[in-house]
Amino acid sequence: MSDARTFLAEALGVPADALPDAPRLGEPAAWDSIGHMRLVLALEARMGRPLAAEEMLDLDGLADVARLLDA
Amino acid sequence: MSNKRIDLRTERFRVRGLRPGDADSRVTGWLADETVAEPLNRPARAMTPDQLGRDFGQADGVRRFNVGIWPHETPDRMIGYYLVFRDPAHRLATFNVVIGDLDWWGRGVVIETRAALLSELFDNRGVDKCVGQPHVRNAPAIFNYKRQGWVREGLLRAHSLHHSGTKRLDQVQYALLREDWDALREDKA
Repeated sequence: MSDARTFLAEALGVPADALPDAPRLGEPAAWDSIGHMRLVLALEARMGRPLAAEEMLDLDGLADVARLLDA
Repeated sequence: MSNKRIDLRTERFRVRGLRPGDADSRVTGWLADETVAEPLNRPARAMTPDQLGRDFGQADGVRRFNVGIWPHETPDRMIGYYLVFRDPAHRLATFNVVIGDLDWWGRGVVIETRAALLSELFDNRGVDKCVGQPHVRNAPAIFNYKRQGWVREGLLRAHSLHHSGTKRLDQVQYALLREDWDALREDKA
């Protein structure tokens, strides 16, 4: 999960220690609509493939980021 | 049920029915910008202000609402607009929105202004259900529907043809019933 936190912080352009305990859509403020787009693009770059539709739609919080990075 | 031109105020914006004269070269330029057009599955193509103005003028206040967004801080500078289609037989409204001024992307415009429109449609315009069908890859739109509390009703597989004609696109349907919106408003109050 700590890797996912670091990844999420980098994707959103904020320091990792600025993330709340359980980051999710809208929290932190940098996870706004554009932050969400940046996160999708960062995940796809890391995974080397486009996210599937359900993966896109289920991306709500840190646990979802961790799950995708572990897949 | 009211059929007056929509004219609403939120904390940061005025949201009012569009007139043909609201279509100027800056607004038509949005549709020629691929950054704006692609998420809407439109080819980036310039329209003339007359062409777009005719489109803006097609709202009838019953089946179609064309509604622009103006920040209070720049009241002469529209930053985006909604096209809302209402099906009177089923009291159903379908939302489409474009924020053309990129300086306002990521600043909560849609969530704030759409809240005012939802209240107007449910309270005064004879609507029982609102739906939106963004393309699955339109991440900012997905964010806005989820963050606002819309209910995901289903994945619409290969529901539309990409404007290039070379591939089909998945869409997702989000919806709010009147009682959903009442509950969200109550939670926020």
